[in-house]
Amino acid sequence: MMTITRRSTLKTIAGALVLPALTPLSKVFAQSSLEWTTYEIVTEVNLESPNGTAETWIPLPLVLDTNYFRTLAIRPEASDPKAVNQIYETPNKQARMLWTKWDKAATNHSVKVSILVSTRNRNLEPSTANPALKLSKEEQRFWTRPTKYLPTDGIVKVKTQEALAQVPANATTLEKAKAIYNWVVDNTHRDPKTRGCGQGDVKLMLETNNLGGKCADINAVFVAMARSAGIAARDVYGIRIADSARGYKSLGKSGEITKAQHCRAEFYASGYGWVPVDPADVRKVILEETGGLAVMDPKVIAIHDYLFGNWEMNWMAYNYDHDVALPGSALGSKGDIPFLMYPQAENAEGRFDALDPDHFKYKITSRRIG
Amino acid sequence: MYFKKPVTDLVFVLAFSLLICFATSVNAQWRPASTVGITQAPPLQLLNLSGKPVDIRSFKGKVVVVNFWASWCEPCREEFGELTELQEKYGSKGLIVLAVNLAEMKPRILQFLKGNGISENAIEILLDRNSTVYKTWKARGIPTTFLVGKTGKIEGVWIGAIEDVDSEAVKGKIEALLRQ
Repeated sequence: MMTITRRSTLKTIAGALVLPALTPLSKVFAQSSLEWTTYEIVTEVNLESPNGTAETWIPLPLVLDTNYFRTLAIRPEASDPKAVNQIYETPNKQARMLWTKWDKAATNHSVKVSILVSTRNRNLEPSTANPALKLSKEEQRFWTRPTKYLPTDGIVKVKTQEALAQVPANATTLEKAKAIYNWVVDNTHRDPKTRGCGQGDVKLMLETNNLGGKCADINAVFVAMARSAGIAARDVYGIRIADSARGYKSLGKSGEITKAQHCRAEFYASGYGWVPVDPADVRKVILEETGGLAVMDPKVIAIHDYLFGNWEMNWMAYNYDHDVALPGSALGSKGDIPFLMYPQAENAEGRFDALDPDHFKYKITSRRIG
Repeated sequence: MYFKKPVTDLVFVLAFSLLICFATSVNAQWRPASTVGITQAPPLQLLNLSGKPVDIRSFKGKVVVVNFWASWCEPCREEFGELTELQEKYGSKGLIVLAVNLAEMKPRILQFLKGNGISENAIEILLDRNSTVYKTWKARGIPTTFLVGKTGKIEGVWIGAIEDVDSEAVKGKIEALLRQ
């Protein structure tokens, strides 16, 4: 049964620490099974900012644990004792963030948050359907809704019909989603010049016939087309936290991960739940792995097959949210961001450039601890 | 899952995510203002690199070139020299070039200028840290350049990089406006 709220949820540090942070570490590790791996991810922000009022918003992991991802602890600390830290969840609970505020007397704008998470690989098992797994009508409606950047009509509909042209009308959701996944892999490409992870403006991409981009673009095409076909789908924003154990150098990052943000996608198939996909990483392998690989290279074929239904969990999930309002932003609704995957900040001069960690400044590190 | 209220459809675009960096100057011409749906210059009041406010209204009676750019955008970088030349060539005749930087911070801009041997005062660089002006001017990518006449009317929009300010396509309209 869904818990429903219209109210924004604010939790103070104390409230936050009542959550898993108070769990003794011994118990944390006792929970671990062999297939779960635990990481500590530390985000440090040290604003290049004159004295005075400032705010930062640092993305935190998924609000709700899943069968592949658990948040064990969140430990925020600001060097200025007068700084106010709050863990803020968006009204629909699709994202949360550490919101830190400094007043006009502040002479230092530093904040650090340490996060302990456990992950395990996700694998779709098509032979073991569970009839109990299905979305409510409300959930189905929510995850098939169009947004400004993810329209489901017009050119998106046309391209979806093109992708499904060879699929029988009575095809299963898995079969339809696979056809869309293949279309996205075949028709998009990774553009290394795209800033950050891209913007995910699917309508613009299709209208201009420029299907180059990065994860926020390519996986958004999948999500929009799936929704257009009536399949519940969503982006999952996150960050790579470890090297790939599958032998793909381009699909992992450990140690300093400041620029390792990566979003993935999921669709819902009744009987199977949320199914992981990542067509953007197929294109990344084609472009980057060992200097570039042919589409028919065995390594590409293998990852193409793997990334429909499977995720290697050397990655931390932040959230599912689109069109995120940053609480307390002086910009009001004009300061809303399409997705929250990078630290954000503002001072009297305005918004910081989230894609410029060297001047912002912020640093993110990851280490495997269990 | 926890939502009664759908996520708002009022999507406002943050600069870093909205920026489509035009790779080529496909439309090498001044296009009508109707291309972007505005006819009069919207408000433009921003701080320059020295921290002083600059308001486009103070340039009434002059021809103003408003260029939206960022240092990470390759065509913008290539175009920057053309803009400084434009200012140098026509500044004395009443032309003002405003280079509106999108969402970058001052150290990054200074790094770009220094790295390319461009003086901080070569053209007026304005800081649109929150991308609000960019949105108000309805540009959907960078570089995009607006040509504003002496009365504040938008006389043309150049989508993509201006590659040669000495070409008739670029300077013809500018010189005509300066003569008015």
